[in-house]
Amino acid sequence: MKKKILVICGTGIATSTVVVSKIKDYLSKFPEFAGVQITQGKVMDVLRGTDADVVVATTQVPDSVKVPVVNAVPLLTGVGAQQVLEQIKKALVGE
Amino acid sequence: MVVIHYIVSLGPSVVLPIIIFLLGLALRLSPGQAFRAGVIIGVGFVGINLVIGLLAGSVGPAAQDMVKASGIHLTDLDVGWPSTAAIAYGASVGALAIPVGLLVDIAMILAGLTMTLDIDLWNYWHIAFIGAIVTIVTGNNYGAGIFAEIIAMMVFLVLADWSQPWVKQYYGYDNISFPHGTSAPYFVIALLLDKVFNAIPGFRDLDASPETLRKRFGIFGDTMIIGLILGLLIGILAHESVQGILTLGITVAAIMVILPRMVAILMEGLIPIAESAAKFLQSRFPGRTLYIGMDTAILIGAPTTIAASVVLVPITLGLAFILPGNHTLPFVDLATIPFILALMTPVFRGNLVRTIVGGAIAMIPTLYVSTALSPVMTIAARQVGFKFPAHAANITSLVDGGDYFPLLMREAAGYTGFIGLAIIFIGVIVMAWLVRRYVTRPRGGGEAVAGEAYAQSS
Repeated sequence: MKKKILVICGTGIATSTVVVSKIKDYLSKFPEFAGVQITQGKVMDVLRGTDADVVVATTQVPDSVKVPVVNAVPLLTGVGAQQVLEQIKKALVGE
Repeated sequence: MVVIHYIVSLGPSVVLPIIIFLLGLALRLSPGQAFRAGVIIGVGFVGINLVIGLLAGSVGPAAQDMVKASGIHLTDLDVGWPSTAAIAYGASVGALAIPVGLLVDIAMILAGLTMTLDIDLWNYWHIAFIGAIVTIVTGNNYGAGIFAEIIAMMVFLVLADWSQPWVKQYYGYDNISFPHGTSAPYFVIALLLDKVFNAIPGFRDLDASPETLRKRFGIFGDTMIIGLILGLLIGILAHESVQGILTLGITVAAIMVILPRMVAILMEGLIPIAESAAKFLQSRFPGRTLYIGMDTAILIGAPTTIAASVVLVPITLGLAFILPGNHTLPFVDLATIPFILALMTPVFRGNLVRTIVGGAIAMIPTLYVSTALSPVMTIAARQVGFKFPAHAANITSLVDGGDYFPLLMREAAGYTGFIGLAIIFIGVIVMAWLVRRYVTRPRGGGEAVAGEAYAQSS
């Protein structure tokens, strides 16, 4: 499955790097998600929309984003992280 | 003493990995993880050094030519927060900022003065930066540098507590606060400006919609394009050849894209350290009512902040060109404006007109301060081995380099040494007590417990 996840934060550097590494760790447990492409970006990049299937964001995203958005702040604080990861998985499958 | 001198002389790309490795072991990472974390940080440091070399080697001489050709005296290059952070962590007291910051945080909570648990380890570089410049202006007094780091950490914690009610009201984050060195000082400026704005008839009722501005100025959100335009502009003002102008345009665009990537490498090394430090901190305070201190990166997606930031890019550049006595050429940190605004927006309750006007007013001292701090920053950069041609230019940054708080610390330490720092130290304790008394006074009930905070809201 060639789905695309776009991880968004303020700079495309700091918190999104943390989130990407957590999502990679989690998805590596599922062989069916082997082909998933994870890219990083900053919130300014999606002002004109995105071609990703799921957006995972540590900050508010503009309403130009029409695909499912998952709030990743719990991945940063550590608690409630599991639910967020499951939400991402569900969004990938398209539920 | 000889051993210490030898280790310091190895330079930060070697010393940082060693310190991070030891810190990782102390925070119970496996030796393999700690070793890898240390090496990656060294690698990121080398990468940043390469890009700063490129920046100073291309834009530096062009800025000099610009002075000669058009009399526009903007020769203090804004190398941006990525470089400033690297300089800060690379300084001799820099890496100490992490253990010092952690201990100050624990001490402040135990003393009941603040209630923010700062797990955003990356941004401890702000206190490292203040430590580094104070060390330099006191003639390499490491004691003064570390004392300055302690004070800086306290200030950010107090500001985080103070701004939390605004964060809660505007962004809806109940148990998160923002002891972030870039954003927190501007919260105070916004409080003052908001009072002034309220007193101006007519103006106080103005607002605008973020949507239209964001679309019209969207181009300024693309840092690569800003780089290109800026490079071309400097090339033209410097009366370069057509080839020179075009080359400068692409080079500057490249710097804007590559520099943040290098910082991402540095971050990758810091992640395991930050996570084990967060666990360490949270395990100290089971059952305490605390805020979790985070990076304002999670706030800057607010529509008002984004819209105001894109408008402030050309405004900031314009100000740099017209303000007499300003020598700062804004540049990499044009992309960091959202962070400067992150804690101003909630004070202005998301009012776009106030955020733009307030942001523009705040940029004036920011530009002057960054000009004033550029000599000491240039010394700091050279001390950590960043190479750029002599006499080419000075470096500075809008973020931290343009912040009044580091300037205050430099003045206090430079002119009065420990006495000035001690006065600020006492002042901060009084401020912490006032904030505790009037802002975060425990009310019982409504607040959650650190560690459980997110289990509840997610």
